Amino acid sequence: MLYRLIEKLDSKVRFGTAEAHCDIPCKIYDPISAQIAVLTMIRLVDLLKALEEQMPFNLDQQAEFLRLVAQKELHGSKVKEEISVIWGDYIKEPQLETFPELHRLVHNIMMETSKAKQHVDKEITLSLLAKVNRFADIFWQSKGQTTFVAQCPYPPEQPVVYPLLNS
Amino acid sequence: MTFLGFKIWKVTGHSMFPRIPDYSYVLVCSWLKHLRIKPEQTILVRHRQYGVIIKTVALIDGNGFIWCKGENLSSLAVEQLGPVSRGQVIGRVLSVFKK
Repeated sequence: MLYRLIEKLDSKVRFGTAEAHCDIPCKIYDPISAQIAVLTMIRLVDLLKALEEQMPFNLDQQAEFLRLVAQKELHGSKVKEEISVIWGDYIKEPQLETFPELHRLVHNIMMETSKAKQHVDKEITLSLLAKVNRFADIFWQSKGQTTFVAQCPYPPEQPVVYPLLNS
Repeated sequence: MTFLGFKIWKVTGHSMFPRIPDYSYVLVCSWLKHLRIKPEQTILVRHRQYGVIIKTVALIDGNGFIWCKGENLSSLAVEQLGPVSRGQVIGRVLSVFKK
């Protein structure tokens, strides 16, 4: 009751606002970073497979192999981080009620990302992309945006969910 | 609207959740900042980068600077907020009015 009283008072006199900042910048969420990270993992798997045909490696090829593996690890971690931030900071009760699959989907993304990091397996990375695309689809739907699927215009040329934003 | 150093502020953001949820109101006393500020007290600070923020005192360092923290994992880290001087403190939170 006291809250409602203060709220009414606030509508008249406009109290100052104190920010309880979370991660900066607040309220800026976009699953495209996670999608691009998965696409990068797929591309890295393609490059690793191409390199496999040149075995045994010379010194340059060994260095390239190490760089590709390191980048695959890095982008795997990025997928986890980007999805976790949206899941932890943006997803709340209303989204969970509308999309009850969200918790399981996010958990599956975490598990599949670990698998994609552990192996050089295109099938796993493609399966991960499908899940991250589904997550992106839910995210945009929760914001009232229609989505469409298009092939990304660069390697690895895989289907990606994009929001249909009005200009 | 200030009355005898007491002022009500609206809180936006999640870093003080669950004790101070988003859109709560807090009663802040400005003259209490002149008394000893101790860890775990909740204060309002005029931060150079983030504007007026509400945080909990994490520690007071040897030079008298105040280091603040949020109350959940999504909050900015203590080192991101950096130290603030006593002059930047607006006041101490006395009461929280939640929805």
